[in-house]
Amino acid sequence: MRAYFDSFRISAVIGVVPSSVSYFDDEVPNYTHDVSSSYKLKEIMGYGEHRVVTGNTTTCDLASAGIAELISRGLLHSDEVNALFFISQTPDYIIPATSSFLHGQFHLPADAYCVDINDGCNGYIKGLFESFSFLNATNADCAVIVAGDVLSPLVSRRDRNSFPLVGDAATVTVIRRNKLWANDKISIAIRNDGSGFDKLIVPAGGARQKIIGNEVDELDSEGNSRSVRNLRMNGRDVFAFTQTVVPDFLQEIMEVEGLKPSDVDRFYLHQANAFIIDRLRKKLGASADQMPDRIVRKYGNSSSGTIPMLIATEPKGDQILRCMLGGFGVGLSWGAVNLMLQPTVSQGILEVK
Amino acid sequence: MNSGIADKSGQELEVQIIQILKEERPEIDFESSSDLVSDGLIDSFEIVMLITEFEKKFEINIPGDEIVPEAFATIAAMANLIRKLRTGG
Repeated sequence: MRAYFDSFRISAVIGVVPSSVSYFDDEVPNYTHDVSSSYKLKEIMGYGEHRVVTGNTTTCDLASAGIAELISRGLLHSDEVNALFFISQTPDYIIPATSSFLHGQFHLPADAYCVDINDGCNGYIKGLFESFSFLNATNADCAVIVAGDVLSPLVSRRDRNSFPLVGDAATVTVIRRNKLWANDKISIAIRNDGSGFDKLIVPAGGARQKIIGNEVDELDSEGNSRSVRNLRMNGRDVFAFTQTVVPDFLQEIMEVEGLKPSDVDRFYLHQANAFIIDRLRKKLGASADQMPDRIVRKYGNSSSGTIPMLIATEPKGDQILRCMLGGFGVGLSWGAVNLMLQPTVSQGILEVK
Repeated sequence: MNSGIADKSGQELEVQIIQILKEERPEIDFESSSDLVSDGLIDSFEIVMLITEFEKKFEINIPGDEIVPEAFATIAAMANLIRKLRTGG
């Protein structure tokens, strides 16, 4: 699908991470793989440090801290929120929706539209589409997107394919009706390939395969150990997807939008790992400044949280930025947004205990 | 070591590929497998490492659409890939 909007803007983005840091060097002994290969992989993939919650901290907890921080900075008021989209694969409960909990916690208006969307690495793109569509269909002025995951409890500590990558984080994005740039078009494209639904999957825990309590870890052919309660990634197929479908899609979108790489100030792409970002840079002819990988290197991959984390950490400047946002991953699903961002949008990263 | 490979015979190229593979996984006899990927001797992360090594050693750029399991299934397939990219084919 493709959609165009012209009367909305992102007004504030903040990231929230747990203060506890996990270092790849400390995790190497957990893996069955040759130590030297792990260190070589560290260099190639950008493994170094990532954020991992301690205790029972949830995505909702991190999001609550972010919403409260934006309120305290005067960038959001509870009574002006017309919609709240909670984009995550790690809700607090199966029932009810986490967006309902946040609605109650922040005393949002009774007519605020609240909905959870179960999605990962392309979730932020979908969240933007939902927000713009909501504002377009109503006379509302303000929508809030919570995007992110606390995925580390679902990933085996002995899975070198996945554990070094995950970074727990939540983000909060405020979308407002645009009174300044009415002529600035926003375009969104989203695609799916459901035949790849099992390429990134937590097999047990839903209605299809219930957790019965005696799940045991199994060693896969690549030397990783995990149970059906853990995230499993078909590394080979996901990698092929990121090297073929994703770059071709982004190139197609650039052509459709009439953009050359030099026209785009920032490619904020999902932070899968540093290697994939580097390959995408080469394919699209973008520099490291244009297509940063700072989030996966410092915080890890927080699924739908990585694109807003990039926005939140944009270095202070005074330029309005032409940005291409790109998400890709679980589903399989991929998408892109072409929009402008004001320099005042970035609200940094908040660390919570 | 990384220069002039285009002038060397295909067999020498295959020897160098085996040497790279042995540096990664010295315990494995790579020549005895007819499909290194399907046999589980090379996983997705080792393909990533091989791409990095090949690009550095043979001064090539392996485009994304060439990064398919079949291209890394055998020593001969890897040699063919490198040879093709070296000659701009």
